[in-house]
Amino acid sequence: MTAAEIARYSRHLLVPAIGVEGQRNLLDKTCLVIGAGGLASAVLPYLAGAGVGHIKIIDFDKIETSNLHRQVLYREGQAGQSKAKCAAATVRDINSSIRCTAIEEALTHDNAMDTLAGVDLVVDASDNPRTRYLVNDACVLSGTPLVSGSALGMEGQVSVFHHRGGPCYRCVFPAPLAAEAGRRCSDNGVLGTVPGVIGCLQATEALKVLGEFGSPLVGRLCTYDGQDGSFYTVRLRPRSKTCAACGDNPTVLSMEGSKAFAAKHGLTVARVVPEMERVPTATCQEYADVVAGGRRHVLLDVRVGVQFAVCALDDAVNLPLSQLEASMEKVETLSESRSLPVYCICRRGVDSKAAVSILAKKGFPNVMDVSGGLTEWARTVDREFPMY
Amino acid sequence: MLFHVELKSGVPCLPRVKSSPAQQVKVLFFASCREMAGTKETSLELPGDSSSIAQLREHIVEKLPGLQPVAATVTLALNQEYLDPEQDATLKEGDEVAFIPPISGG
Repeated sequence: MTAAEIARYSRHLLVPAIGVEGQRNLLDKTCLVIGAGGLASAVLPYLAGAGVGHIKIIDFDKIETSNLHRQVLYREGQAGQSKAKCAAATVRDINSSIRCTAIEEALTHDNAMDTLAGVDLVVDASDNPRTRYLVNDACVLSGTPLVSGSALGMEGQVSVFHHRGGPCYRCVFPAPLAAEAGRRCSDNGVLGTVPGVIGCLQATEALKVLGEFGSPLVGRLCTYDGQDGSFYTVRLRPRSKTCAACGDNPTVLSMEGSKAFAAKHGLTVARVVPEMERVPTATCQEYADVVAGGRRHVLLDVRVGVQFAVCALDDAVNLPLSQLEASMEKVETLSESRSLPVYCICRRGVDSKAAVSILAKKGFPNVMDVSGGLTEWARTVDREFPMY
Repeated sequence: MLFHVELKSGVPCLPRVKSSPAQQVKVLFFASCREMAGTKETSLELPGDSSSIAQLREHIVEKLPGLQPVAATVTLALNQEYLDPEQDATLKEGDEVAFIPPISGG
């Protein structure tokens, strides 16, 4: 180790568990971080500071204003720029003596094995179930350990998979929950610090695996609840003999197999827009004409209350889709015993279609979906309308 | 009231009596299951002394119907230990069962 390295990493060298050997291990290793968002905003600076020899960052996305509350790696002026590139620049600012590679692409079944080549550890800091299964399968197929972290709302999870005989992600979660894949307009927010907490835990686990010290979080899943500040850790079962990826008779034998699994479970790249029956529709402009013409009507906004509170159209009545069936009397009253036309709107035009369908089945004669929802409204009618 | 049931052999026997009261099990919900359940925690009274995880999955939906879409499939932890997805287990008084679905955000 050079004098400069000794000076730089002295506070690692002085930790008995790490020492010169642990630090040397870090300097020699390559780590791939999947996703450069909220989790990576904590993971990357610590890996860089710690002197991990080569850090690879893969993310296809651009920085958006709505990322800044949690993706503290980025600055206001970088909105619109490549996350992988900006993240790599920060990594190099923190530590110019390590290598950093930015890959401005989406990780796919087709490029995963090449991307993982030569990598000692993968940190999954992605944000969707498709990528999580893809990453797990690529790690199992290439024999690479995986530090997995996730965060949503005020909760997060972290574990180390496929390491030292422990289970892989698939052993614990063999298939995505149907309810997860079918989530619709109601997107969830996240408290900015929660991915930070989980990202710090991931960085800690990554340094332990790469540096070969400590006891990595293998065979345990640590969950964090920011709401009450508690951790709940569960012991995991050992590697599952029936696991499709790492079991005794695996069925995911290649990334093609992994791709087939993703297709079977509806894990698609694009936002899942469920097949819906056709319902009567008005375009946003047509609805704007109804308002401008002073024609009497009812506008039902079927988003959840927390989203309605963020922004809504004038005169919209909030009636979340989940409560609609139980609120027929209210719709009856609002529509003056079904004499007024009823328009339904939501964020992107999926839940509103379901609402129209419910009302039509209940016999409401004049119900219409405002096509494309508030997103389309902000695009085509009122460019000042706030979107979130 | 006490009554006898005659078996074919002619030996009288008493109807089966519950050997222990219903058992209380603590149930915790995480992530999307917390949203579906509308609560972080509940206690569930299961009949008899040999209720199983499978029965818990059925009973919890009666109490918290919001869990219907995932109750049968979500992986559960019993006393902070994950069960295999298909695994059943016998529950005892005071056990803690947690619904911990995967989070995928980041």
